[in-house]
Formats: sequence, structure tokens, C-alpha cells
Amino acid sequence: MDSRLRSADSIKRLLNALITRYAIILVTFFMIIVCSFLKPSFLTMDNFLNISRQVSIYALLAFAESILIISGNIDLAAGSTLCLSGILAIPVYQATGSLTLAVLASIACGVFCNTISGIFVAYGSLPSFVATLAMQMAARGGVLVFTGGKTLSQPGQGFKLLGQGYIGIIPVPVIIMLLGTLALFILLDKTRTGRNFYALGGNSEAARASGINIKTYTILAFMFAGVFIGLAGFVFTSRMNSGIPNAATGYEGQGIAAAVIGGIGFSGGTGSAGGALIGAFVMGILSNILNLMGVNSYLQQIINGTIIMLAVGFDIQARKRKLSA
Amino acid sequence: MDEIALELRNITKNFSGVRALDDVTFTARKGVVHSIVGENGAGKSTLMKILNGVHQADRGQILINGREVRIASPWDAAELGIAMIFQELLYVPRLRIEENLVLGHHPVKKGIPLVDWKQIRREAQEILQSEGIRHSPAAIMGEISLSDIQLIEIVKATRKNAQIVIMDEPTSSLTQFEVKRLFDKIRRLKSEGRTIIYISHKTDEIFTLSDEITVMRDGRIVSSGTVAEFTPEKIITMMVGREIADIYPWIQANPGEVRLELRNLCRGRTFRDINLTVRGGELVGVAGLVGAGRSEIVRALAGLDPYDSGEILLDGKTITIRGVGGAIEQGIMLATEDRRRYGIIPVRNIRENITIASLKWLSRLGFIRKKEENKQALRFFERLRVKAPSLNTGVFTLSGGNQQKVVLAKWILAGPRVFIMDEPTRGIDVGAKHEIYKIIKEMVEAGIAVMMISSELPELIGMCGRVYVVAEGRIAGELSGSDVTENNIMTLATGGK
Repeated sequence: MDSRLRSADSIKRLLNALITRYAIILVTFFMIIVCSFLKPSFLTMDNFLNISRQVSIYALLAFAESILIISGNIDLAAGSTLCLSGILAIPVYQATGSLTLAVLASIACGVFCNTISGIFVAYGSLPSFVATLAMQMAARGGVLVFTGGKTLSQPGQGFKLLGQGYIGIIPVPVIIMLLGTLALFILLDKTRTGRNFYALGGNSEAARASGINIKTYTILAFMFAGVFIGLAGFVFTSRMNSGIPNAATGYEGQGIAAAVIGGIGFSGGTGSAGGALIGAFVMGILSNILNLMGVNSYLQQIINGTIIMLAVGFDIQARKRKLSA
Repeated sequence: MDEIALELRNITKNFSGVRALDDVTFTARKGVVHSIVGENGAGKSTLMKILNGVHQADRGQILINGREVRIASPWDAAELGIAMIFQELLYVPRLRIEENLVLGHHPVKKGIPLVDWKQIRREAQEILQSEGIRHSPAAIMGEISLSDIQLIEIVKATRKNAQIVIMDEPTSSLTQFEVKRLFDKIRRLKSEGRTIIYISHKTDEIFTLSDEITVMRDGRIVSSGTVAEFTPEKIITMMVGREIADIYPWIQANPGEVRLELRNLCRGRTFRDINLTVRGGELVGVAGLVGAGRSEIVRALAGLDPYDSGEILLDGKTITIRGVGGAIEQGIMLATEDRRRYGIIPVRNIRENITIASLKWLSRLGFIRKKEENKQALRFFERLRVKAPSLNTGVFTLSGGNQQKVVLAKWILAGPRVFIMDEPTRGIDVGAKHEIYKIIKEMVEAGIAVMMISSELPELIGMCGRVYVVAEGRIAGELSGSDVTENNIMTLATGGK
């Protein structure tokens, strides 16, 4: 009797945990089902690939934010850094004609901006949200100085390959996103560096007392995040096939939301690469559904804000319960 | 005197299938000190949280002055005259004493809604005087001693009409003199007709203080009655559920060469001219009052804090310590006193917590060798008998004793040549303490140079062949063999006063 009572209780507990932890994912599933009845065009391969392509940039940003949130930081500059990194690729491509060099230029720019933020966080003891808020302004300023406020169009033939191209029926950005997921998985799950990121975000003082150089690893986390932001910047610019100075404003919010919805604990030390990918898809699917339903884009912003509030709220509640048990 | 202040009837509480309290029934009379004793995990804290409205009982009744009450929140508890003094004191360190005293209910002037600072100052002055706290009401709370803060907290909690005062392990960070002052205060509260529920696991305190005793084990009341019905031995046996023949294991010490030597180690005003030696295969104790500089010395040694001057010699060679990583490379490791703050990563699992300091040699080209990691973690998980379902269990779910075992496993796996433990058994129940002692014994017998800082003198006396006593940042003396006695240690620690 007692054991049956206990197992009933543990099932209840599991359900409770599932509901709070994955509430938004469950809502998404529910909406997918409803939507597939209402709109036949929803549950098609074309639409799915379309969603995947839209999601890819947010997913890369979510990967960057995941690394930083896991290690106890955050990046509020991701949107501006993405824009700056992407735009820098255009003159590099025009000068060299090499797509590889252009991609590397974007990545280098992402890493550069984030390293600066990271140094201020690690050695200046600035909270990461302050350092990256400053970087958000500086990087956007960098874009405006560099472009003179004008859109850089006609980057050259072949530039749009990574943003608009396909391999078979699969859009190239989707492939980049999947490779990015794999890379993030390896970083977080298989390497010492990734393990140290978790330790840093889980309890930085204990990490230090265990011999982890927390300054070095803080900067490293920012640098790895910079790689993903630079890559996202290139894919973004390539898809636009032009450099727009005020583009990607507020994209960091999308990345952070996707990460947290995907189970990257906002207080640091928990989460996985797969989670971040799922989070990005949840965001993408919801916005696709809202579009198909004809919900106007202003209203969608309100909905997005609500989702972020709920996702972080649930996460904090779950953590509270966890640590008080 | 025979009026009953508090009565609990058949209180039962489950936490996700685990029974924390099982049919708990007892009464506390008015104007008495009623001690509740039990090991960690016996259910004392849960019981107190129910009385304070933090948790609600699944079944059972609470009666205050013979009337059944419902306590749904800490505010309800306060309304009913229940005051709680937590082990971790709740105060605002940056505010003044007087501000802390009136926090949440500032008196206002008549007519105009402005805070009446004059009245606050006057009342605070009176309180500090009558309690014998030698500070100005304008002193900053964070800058006065923990013992003064605690007294202020007690005054604050009992100023209103609190008839039942609950204190959770209030002496855990007090010196002997401060304990005496606290006991005086408790006796005064009692003489005012209040009931004090005193939670502790220190039998000597319980017998000095209590009128009534309740012993708990595994969520149940083992025995409850007046103090005359108990003896210390009886209580310990009831608490543990078995006789503890010999809690301190006999260490087959076989000291070798001097492994670690400190020469005139100094750091500002924190500590000066520290000279000490530890041999391989030796257990050396470090005693002293809290705040004497004990922890700071070993933190400098382990690379957590800097030092200004002096030499550290390992195997006779001078070394420099560059950060914790550097100390670990030299084989000098420290299990710090604040386990939650410096010891564990609560959200990560046992495996990762055990291997965190050994990842360098458990990885190849930056990639963790997962099989090897699992094997090594499992080895120490089993050897130290960590009580948990598996290596994948989150460390935050473990009891204090098991968390400490995880911390020890982490350092043993990292292969220390000099291992320092700061308060290794603080906040750990008797059964787990015994196991920690056995782990220490194994390390010493394996030839590691081990240092143990402890505030529990019986522990130092029972375990260590040699003890350094630290007072006011200096080594006040060294005791060995039969000179290691409570009296000698306290004399040195208090500067012969």
C-alpha cells in the first residue's frame, strides 16, 4: 500500500515537474495539433523547412547565450555584435572574393567584441549585463561609423550562398545550425572547458576553490559565444544579401528566450545544447503559427514578451523548489 | 507553572513520498525551556518550520494555550506569538543597529507620517544597555560580532508579545563566553513566563538549560519528558538508535619526513609569523577561537587568499603558490569550512563534483575520458559510502554529511600530498561524523600529511597527536601527546585569560 502510494505520489511529482518545466513546450505541441487541423498548409515539409530556416539564426544566438548563461553570464550585445560581424564580411568578400575569409572575418569580429566584454567582466568585475549593455551600444555605433548609416548592397556574386542556398532540399542555414548544435554539444558535454563553464555558473566560488581559473574561463565563455554570434552574423547578412545598419536590433532577447525555454537555467550551471535547439524551435513554431493565423506582428511582440516572462518565471520557481527540497 | 503553552498532536508531514514527520505528539509547558534533540535529518527543522508557518502539516493539530490554531505563514506564526531565531541570522548588514531593530515597523511621529528617529534612538539605547551590548545604536550591524547580532535578533523577535520562542542551534558559532551570555538571556526570557523551544544536538548545553526534553529520530518522537528522566548517555543512544562505542578511530600514525613547513608566514593584520610543520602520515590539529586567523592561514596555503611574506616549504624545498590551481599542482589541497559556498556545485551531479579538481588528468587533448571519469568517481563514491541513488544524483539533494563526503572524495581523487580540512564535521550528524573520521584515518595511514582545523575540542583531542593553537593571528602554542587537553587548548586560545 505504502509503496503504491509512494509511486502515485512520485508520478504526480513527475507530472508537476514536467508541467512547470516544459509548460511552454507542451503549449507548443497543443498549438501544433490545433493549427494542423485549422491550416492544412502548416503540417507540410515546405513549411517545416521554412520554419527551420527562420529558426537557424535565432538558434545560433541561443547557442551563444547558452554558453554564457550556463557559465553564469549573459550577452545583451548579441544583436549589435551580430550586425557588425555580418556587415564586416561584405568588404572582406568584395576584396578577396573568398567566402571562407568572409566567414572568418565575421567570426573574428564576434570573438573580438565578446573578448572585450569578457575581459571587463573577468578583470573589471563588471556584471556581464552591464558590460554587454555597453558593448551593445558600442557595436551598434561601430556599425554606423563603418557604414556611414547606409545600407551596403550588392556584396558581390555568390555572397548569398550560405544564407539563401540549398543542399538538396535543405537550406544551408539549417545545415549550419545543425553543425552548430553538434559543436555546442561536444563543447558542453565532452570537453573540460565545457565542464568548467557549468562549474563556473553553478557556483563560481566553489569552482575557484577547486582550482579552476575563473577569469580565464569567463573570457573563454565569451569567446566561444562570439564564434556563434559571428557565424550568425554572416548567415544573416548573407540571407539579406546586404548589410543593413539597424538590423537585428533586439535579437539577443530572442536568443536568451530560446535558451531559457530550452531549459538553460537562468541562474547558471544547467542546460544542454539540444535544449537550446528545442527552445529556438519552440519560438520559431509559435511565431509561424501566429503568422499563419494572421496575428499581427505588433501583437506577436507582446506574446513573445509574455513567453519570456513565463519561461524565466517557471525556471526560477523550479530552481527554488529544487534547492529548498 | 503547569499551564500548557504549546501542544502538538499527531503531526505528520511528507515531502514527495518521504516521511519527514511521523505522528509527532508532545507538549511544552509555560515558562520552561523545552529542548528538542536529534541528529540532522531527525525532523527537528521540519517541525520548527511547521510551527513557524513555512510548511504546513499533512495531518495533526497544533494547540496554543489549549486552542487549536492554523499556521499558514510566518505572519500567522508571529500573530500567534511564535518567534523564531534561525541558525542563520536574518539581518541587514549595512543598516545601523537601531534600523535593524525597527525594520518593518518604524514608529512614526504623531500627526505627520515621518519616521520618528529620536524615539528609535532612545529605545535602541535602552535595549542595548539592558542587554549589555557595548555598541552605539548607530553602529553598522555588519560590523559587530555575531553574538551581539544574535542577541539583537532575539530582542527584536521577543519585543512584541512572543510567548513561544524557537531557537535553532543558536550556539553553533559562539565562543564559550558568548554562550554564557546567551544562556543568561534565555533564562531571563523564561522568567518572564515565555516558553523556549531549544533545538540542539549538544548534550552538555541541553542539560545546563532545559526543563523538558524531547528526543527525535527519523521523524518520530523517541522520548519526551522532564530533564530528570534523562542522562546524556541515554540521549545519545536514543538519538543515534545504537550505542556508539568509540567514535574516534585509532589512527596507526607513522609520521615520516617533514612534508610541509611554514616559516614566518605573514599576511597584514590577519596572521603573523606562522611557523609550523606537518609530517607525511601525520594528523595535526589546529585549534583556536573563531576569527583567530586559523582559516585565513590555510586559505593562503591553498592559494585561495594571498600572503605577504614568509616561506612555504614542501619536502624541504621552498615553493610559491600561484592560485588554487598552483597549490593543487603542488599537491596542497583544502576542504574549506563553508561547504555550500566553496565546496560543492549544488546543481551538478555527484560525478562532476567528485572529478572537478581532477579533470586535467582525466582528459586527453581537452576531451574528458568519460569512462575513466565514471570509473574513478564510482570508486570513491563507493569507498566513502556516499548515500545516494547514483552518481547522477544532484548534490543539492544530499544531506550535509553526504555532501561533505563528496567534497572529501573530490580531494582524495585529486591525490593530495598535504590535505587540510577546515571544520570537516560541522553541521554533520554523529553517524556521518564517525564515517568522516574513518576517511581521515585512512588518508593519514596512506602517508598523506593531514591538517584539521576544528572548533570541537573533543574531536581534536580524540584524533590528533599534535595540535597548534592559534590566537589573534599567531601560533599561541603547540601541544602534543598527553598535553592535548581541553584546558590547555582553551588557555592558549584565550591568551591565558
